[in-house]
Amino acid sequence: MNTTEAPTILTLVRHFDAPPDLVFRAWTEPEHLGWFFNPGMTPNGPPIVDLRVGGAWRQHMVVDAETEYMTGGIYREIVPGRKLVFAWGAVDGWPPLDPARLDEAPEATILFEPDGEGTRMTFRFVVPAEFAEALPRPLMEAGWTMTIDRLVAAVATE
Amino acid sequence: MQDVLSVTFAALADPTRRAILARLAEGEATINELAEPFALTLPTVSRHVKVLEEAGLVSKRRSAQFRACQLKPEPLLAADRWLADYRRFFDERFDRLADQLKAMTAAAAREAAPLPADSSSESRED
Repeated sequence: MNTTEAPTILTLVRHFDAPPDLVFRAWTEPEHLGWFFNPGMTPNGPPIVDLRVGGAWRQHMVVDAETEYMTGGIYREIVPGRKLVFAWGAVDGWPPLDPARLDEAPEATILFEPDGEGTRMTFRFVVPAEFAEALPRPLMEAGWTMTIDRLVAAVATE
Repeated sequence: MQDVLSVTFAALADPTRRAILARLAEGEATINELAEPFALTLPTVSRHVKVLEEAGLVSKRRSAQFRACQLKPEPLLAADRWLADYRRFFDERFDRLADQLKAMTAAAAREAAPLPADSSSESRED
């Protein structure tokens, strides 16, 4: 696949009343990462975090007696307190990640910038076109619509 | 089975094609009219329109005088719902991140400023 065709799909910006170092820690320290996982599912112990480029953060999720899976990410860029980039998924997990082909995986880039006393966090989520339908679709009520102009603007952020 | 969303996102990945869609959102147009704002040849514009047609985003209407291109919004709306689902997926996580940061800030404040009273004394009221 031609990776230059991968669109930037989603950019979210948030302000937090905490300094960038603390927000970065909440993304990278196992004991603080619980917020990332679905409250309806049971994480089987704290996630494993290997905070280095090529290292993984992994979380074993248990949905019920029959359903369990591994999720997390593989780090691609780490600038403490400033920036974090990871491919989303897990080897032998969901979404499935192949460490040799990370360029083809969904990728999250998080920027942490000082904003007054707090942090402006910019979250960019890029999904290669071929991944789009393989990713989860939380149930959505009918009737949700958005104008085409807004959609084009959202997809055109890159 | 055709991967509709992948085709849609691939078609939308090109800025010229997005501009063509934005133009068609205002009303139907011929290839000539679509080419006007761009420094592109008609065959190049035709090629972009063909990609959009194959993605189901554009249809051509034949009339006596000309062939007009029309926007077909259905694939866009499907892609849009997918985006909205993801926006909510992450928004919910970041709400919980905000709560987590509050808890971490409170814990750090307790550590930085321990109570002046002897902590080994009898328990205090909550």
